[in-house]
Amino acid sequence: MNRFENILLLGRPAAGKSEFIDCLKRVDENERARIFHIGKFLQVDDFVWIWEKFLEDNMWEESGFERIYSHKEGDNYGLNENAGRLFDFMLARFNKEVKKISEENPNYYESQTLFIEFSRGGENAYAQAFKRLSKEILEKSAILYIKVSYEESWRRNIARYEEKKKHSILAHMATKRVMEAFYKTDDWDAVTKSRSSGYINADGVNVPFVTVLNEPEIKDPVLLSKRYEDAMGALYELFRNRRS
Amino acid sequence: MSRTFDHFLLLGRPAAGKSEFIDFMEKTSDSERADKYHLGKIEGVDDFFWLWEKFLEDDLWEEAGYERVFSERKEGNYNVKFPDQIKLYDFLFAKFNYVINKKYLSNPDFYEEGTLIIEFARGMKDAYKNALTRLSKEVLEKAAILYVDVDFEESWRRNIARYQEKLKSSSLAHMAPKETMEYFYKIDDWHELTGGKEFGFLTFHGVDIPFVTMNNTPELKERGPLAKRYGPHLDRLFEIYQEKKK
Repeated sequence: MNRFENILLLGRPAAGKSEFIDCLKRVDENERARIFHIGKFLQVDDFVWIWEKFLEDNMWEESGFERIYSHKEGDNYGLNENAGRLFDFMLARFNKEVKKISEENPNYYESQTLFIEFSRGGENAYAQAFKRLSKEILEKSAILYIKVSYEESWRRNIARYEEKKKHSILAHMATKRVMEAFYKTDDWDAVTKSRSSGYINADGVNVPFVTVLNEPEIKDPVLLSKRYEDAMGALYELFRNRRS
Repeated sequence: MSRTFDHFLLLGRPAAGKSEFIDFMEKTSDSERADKYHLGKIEGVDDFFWLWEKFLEDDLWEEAGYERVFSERKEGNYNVKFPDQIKLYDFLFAKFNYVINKKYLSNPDFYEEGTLIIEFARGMKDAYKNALTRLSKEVLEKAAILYVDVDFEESWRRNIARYQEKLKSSSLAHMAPKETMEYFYKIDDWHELTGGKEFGFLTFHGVDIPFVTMNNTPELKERGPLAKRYGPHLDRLFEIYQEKKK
């Protein structure tokens, strides 16, 4: 097996995480395994679960009660500033869902990779997140952090929203209030000591990481793929060496 | 005109016999179910699953180092925190409306051959009045109600029996503690709401909703006697359901 097991796919909102996944999906499975060390894969993304909470808040409101975690701002939803605990809850949920995947399919990692995708911001954001992920997840993980500045994250967030609005009335973006409250800063550089690759010690586990600078924005799929090819190769080397 | 119900509200105390009713219908062929019981290909929504999800979410909150939100663990089981979190039961009606609208009402083809069973149990003063007020007009317009009637003592007896049976095969067996059962289900307002009638119409949101009350005591377990109990009640219910449609 020369494939990743878990990839923690991290970075600010609109940093390029979804575009990276799209890029992978465009590549033939064998080719993807050869170039990116990723064959078949599944994704777990806590944005989906956070979105569920926004919809549940609508139901609370319809029932005559206060929303619990979120506010509405025009057509968008945003997490309340005092609801950061939901991020901690989501990490517990990752632990549960990932365990479930491997219990339901004990051979899952023999041929498949699992993407665990999330975005965190603020002081100690990722340090806290890694503490909350189970050792079982960390032991199988490699981290790809897609780096863009806060300003670029905000710009792409708006651009993505405008693009989605053309096709769907359900288009959503993180509001300025949410972006400022949760994503203005993060601790990635502190966690990695500003290295572009290496290992992070999380709960006694050496977890390999690579940081990909995703600026300037590339929209051409071929060029975008090239941006990630070397990074994924380097990450896989780290992953393999950690295991040996 | 359709020969089956669109929405079938299946109500009654915990362990009154709602699951047994569904189990019976699931084991009946499509044609027999439609001919004898006026139920099409059945799909179901049951708020117990959503309630259970909240219990499991509370486990995650606990694992994340926070207090449980809606429930507490009691005697090896889960228990909705009352009275503080009774609002959860109201929330579940908004979820019924949301799910039914998204999955069924927006897909009218479903009703050509299908019946949606909407299952829930409510207790306390004004329980069903509140419930039917909270369900949307669109849900009620397609609805007929079967209330499976057992008294509190019988509900509690069957609840224990079911739990003991499940314990034999699953470590996840669940039973509401007696304190919870008494708080939530000792009384309900069904007979008050229906004026003690065995069948008729209830009006909510300006919609006349046909109902039948089915006495489900003594407990029956054999298929033959159950068919004899279910058949006439569903015939009666469908008769007034058709009457309403005219």
